[in-house]
Amino acid sequence: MPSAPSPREESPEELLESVTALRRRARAARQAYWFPLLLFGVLAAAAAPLYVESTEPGALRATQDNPPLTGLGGDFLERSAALGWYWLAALVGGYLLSLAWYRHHGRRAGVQTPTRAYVAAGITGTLVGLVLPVVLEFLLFNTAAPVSGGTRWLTGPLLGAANRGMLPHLVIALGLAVLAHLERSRRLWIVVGLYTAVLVAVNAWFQVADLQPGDLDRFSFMLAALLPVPVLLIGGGVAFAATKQQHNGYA
Amino acid sequence: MSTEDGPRSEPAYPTNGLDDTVHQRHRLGILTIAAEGERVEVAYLREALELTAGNLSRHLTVLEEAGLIQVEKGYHGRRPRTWIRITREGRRALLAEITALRQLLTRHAALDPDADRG
Repeated sequence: MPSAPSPREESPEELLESVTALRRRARAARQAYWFPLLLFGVLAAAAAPLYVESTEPGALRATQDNPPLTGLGGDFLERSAALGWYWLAALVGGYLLSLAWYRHHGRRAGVQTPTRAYVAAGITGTLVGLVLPVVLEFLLFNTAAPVSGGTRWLTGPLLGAANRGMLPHLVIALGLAVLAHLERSRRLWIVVGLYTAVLVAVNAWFQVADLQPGDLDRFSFMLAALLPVPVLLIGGGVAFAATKQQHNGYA
Repeated sequence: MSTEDGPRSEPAYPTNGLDDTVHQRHRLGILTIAAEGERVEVAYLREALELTAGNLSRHLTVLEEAGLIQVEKGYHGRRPRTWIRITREGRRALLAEITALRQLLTRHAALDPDADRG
């Protein structure tokens, strides 16, 4: 027969309450996702000028032969190569900076978030983003009709997004989704969900709109690339304010 | 130390799932905090659990000897720092303890439905 707890022992309820409070406190101390949100928000905003087209008609432009490492910029925009180089450096640099930030924050707070999977997802996503346009083109144009026809629903929109230089946003969304899982943060999941929703909506619009020559102006692609950015900046700003408030509360 | 059935068997009564090593309040707190991150610094544990260095050290030794945590010593600049990392066994033991505590609560509530009405 089990022995009854002695009067000095804490009840299961008290122990569970204490566990919940400690877990909440440790989680609040280690969460630091405001930095990657603001960092990638700023990096995406800084790419905006590279999405602006010149006034010269597209048909008059020389065809581009971009290096393979610029795949993230697509090959549809006037400055695709520059955009590709920019995003390659921004994504790799952004993920490495995030890693350094989490190490620094962990040492200062005394509780470290496991970030290896986040950086691995980001770097893998970047590499996949480099080769994805080639794979998509192959699937769409160089495979047998049943294969290209059967996968067109996915390859078509993805190649469209890649051509408009939007793949880097998907790489950011992937990395942040992994981070939300590691941070065990519902708020970060909401930001990732909103960011992905805006991203999908923008690309779906290009896909379903029956665009005629002249419908788009030189700023259209820039606007498309900028639309998801406020989600990151606002999400990061709100998380930063909440962190400061929490820190003041514990101090 | 575990009770005779051990924490991972399915106990007939929830207290049989309580592991004496983990059930102690401060050791349960150490495992809870360590499970929340990749590593946790001893200074953070001392502050969060409001323990003296000596007391905390004793609890850490018990947990380390039971294979539930690993202790890592290092430096940050010139300052020595000690970090705690929960092991897989530690996570299992923590989960078993919390499950047993929840089962106890459920059983208490079932036996005494007026308990929550204060």
